[in-house]
Amino acid sequence: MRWTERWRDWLRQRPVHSSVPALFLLLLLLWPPQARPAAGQEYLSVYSPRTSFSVPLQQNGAKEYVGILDLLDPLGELSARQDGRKWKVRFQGMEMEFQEGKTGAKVGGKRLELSAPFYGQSGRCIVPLSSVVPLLSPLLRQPVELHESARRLFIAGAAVHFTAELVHSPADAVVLNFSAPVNPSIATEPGRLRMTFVREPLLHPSPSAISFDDKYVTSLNYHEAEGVAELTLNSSVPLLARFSPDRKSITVGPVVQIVAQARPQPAAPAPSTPAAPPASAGAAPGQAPAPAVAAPPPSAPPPVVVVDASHGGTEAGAALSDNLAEKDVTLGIALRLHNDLEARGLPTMLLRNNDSALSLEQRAILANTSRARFYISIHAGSLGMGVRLFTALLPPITPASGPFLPWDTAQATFLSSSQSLSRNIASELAKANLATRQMAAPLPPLNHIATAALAVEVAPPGGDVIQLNSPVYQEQVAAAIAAGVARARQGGTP
Amino acid sequence: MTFALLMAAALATGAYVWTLKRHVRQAPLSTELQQPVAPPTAGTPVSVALYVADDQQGALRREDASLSLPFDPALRAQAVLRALIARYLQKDSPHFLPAGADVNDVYVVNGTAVVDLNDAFASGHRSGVMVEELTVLSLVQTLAANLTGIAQVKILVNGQERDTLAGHADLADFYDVGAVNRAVAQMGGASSQ
Repeated sequence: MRWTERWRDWLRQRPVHSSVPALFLLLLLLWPPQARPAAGQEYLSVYSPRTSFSVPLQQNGAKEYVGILDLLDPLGELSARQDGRKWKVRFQGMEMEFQEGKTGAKVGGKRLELSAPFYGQSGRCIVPLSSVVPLLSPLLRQPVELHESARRLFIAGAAVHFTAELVHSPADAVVLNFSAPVNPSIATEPGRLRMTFVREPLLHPSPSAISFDDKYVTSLNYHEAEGVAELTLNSSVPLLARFSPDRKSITVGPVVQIVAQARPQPAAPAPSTPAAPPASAGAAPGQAPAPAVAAPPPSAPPPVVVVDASHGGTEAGAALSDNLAEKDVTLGIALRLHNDLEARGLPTMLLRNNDSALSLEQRAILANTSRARFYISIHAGSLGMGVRLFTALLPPITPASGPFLPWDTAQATFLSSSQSLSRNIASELAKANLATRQMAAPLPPLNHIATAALAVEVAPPGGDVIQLNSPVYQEQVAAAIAAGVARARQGGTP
Repeated sequence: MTFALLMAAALATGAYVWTLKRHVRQAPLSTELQQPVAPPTAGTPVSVALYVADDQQGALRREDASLSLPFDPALRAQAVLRALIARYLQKDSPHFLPAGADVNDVYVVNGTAVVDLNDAFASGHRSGVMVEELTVLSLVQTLAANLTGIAQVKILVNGQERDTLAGHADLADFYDVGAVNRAVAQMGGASSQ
């Protein structure tokens, strides 16, 4: 084949428009290098005694840069002006001077050398990250500590310290005590429980790993990276974390022991409904196998109501507005419902009382192993108005008999109790003049719950979704649900 | 001199490439590419029942549409679902779906319909128990009403199994058509029986 024929073939196979992206890519590659946000934008977390915030980092060659104005703006009065290639920054009466492309700088009249040249970009003064400490220390007149590889900056000794202690009473657990209140995101996975501290300046001196002489919780690791600190508890069994009311202490232990520890003493004799057989640990199609959880000791007093604030942690649920996530509304209502139920003498267990993440399987396992009499999952939605009550959407099957229930249809045995619970709560909601609907829904984990189970979706009372965050409305809904549960427990039939 | 030679060579090459491209554009398409992707719909238009979700009512309502449907059950199911989705993408939609929402494929095997939604359908879907339930029940009910012998429906997204549609409605399990029909009736909407 002649070269002209080959070329013809080549062109036939590649139409002209297909070469445009290649040319564009070539132009990009040949374009002179410029400072640009790092791929997958990185941030520097800044902690001071007054505030915590994060600022974007930029990559220029192998060096990381940060905007000095971004850093100083939340910390005090600030002004900056550009005069040709020179920049002057004034912070609380002290002046800094920089020059484009130069490493020499002045802070309060004193010269210092930056580790890489300064440059301005869109009104921002960009300095190398590694030079932040010599720049800020004289300016703030306070100690500044940079953990450069972890991208964390500590100003004026801002720090939260912690201690970890293994306790054996009332149950085997690790108790973490913090020097200030904390609110980490919590994630669990097989063999570990991970707490991520984004806003708190959590610090720990070496060694970063602590071993425990315990058969359940074997070790604790402290790690900081990418602007956050993490505590990871390694274990041979599923773990659960429980916060103290002042949020300065977190108790972490095996799920069964923590549940048993939190289990309130019933005010009345144990419910007459037979305890549900434990659900099998088989997983639903497409889901990871649920971890096996041992049943609690038969002598333990059972809780009456399990209240499950849906979503949590990184799984925020519906974005009800720009600033309102479903997970926050569900937690607010769940906390109020917990108080209202307890006030009525109904022992209650909250599956989460903080911004922690629980998988759907974990929620079902916790409800089933606690042998709850009622399970109520709280949701919030912006569609329509009032309160919607959902029971499980199940095919007509014969309820299983015997010591085990199939995981996928465990709820079938309890569907009539669930519908009775729904009717009782609907009746109380109607008394409170709240619009109410009762339906069946394909909503996990309802099908896996081996007791009377219900999901409640709370919509705003009127058209404004912000009303979902109203304490008055949340309390009105919670009080009516609690009244309905109390009525169902007494065997009410509306 | 060298520059002039290079310029002449560049111009000559450009002219030659332009001539070749013109030939390529004028060349007839191969017979394979002229075949339609799917067989054309045949026959006279028939009436199909669309179970359309209504956010205001929180229920499904039946709307009849006239469609020319293929004979193949899978293509027929796909055409019906596309008509339903097109209804949701209209300006006066009673239940908005995200722009670009579509159904990639429907497979029908032994009374089970597997619906493969595209990524835009799920990733842009509004989150909430009620709003997601309306979407799922509308899909299942519409399929069951227009395809005989469908007992259960499984929903995939981009060919993959997924736990929920947008955080709430279960996509991990199969939907039983009978149970869905009862749920629709309980909602106060139009059941298919």
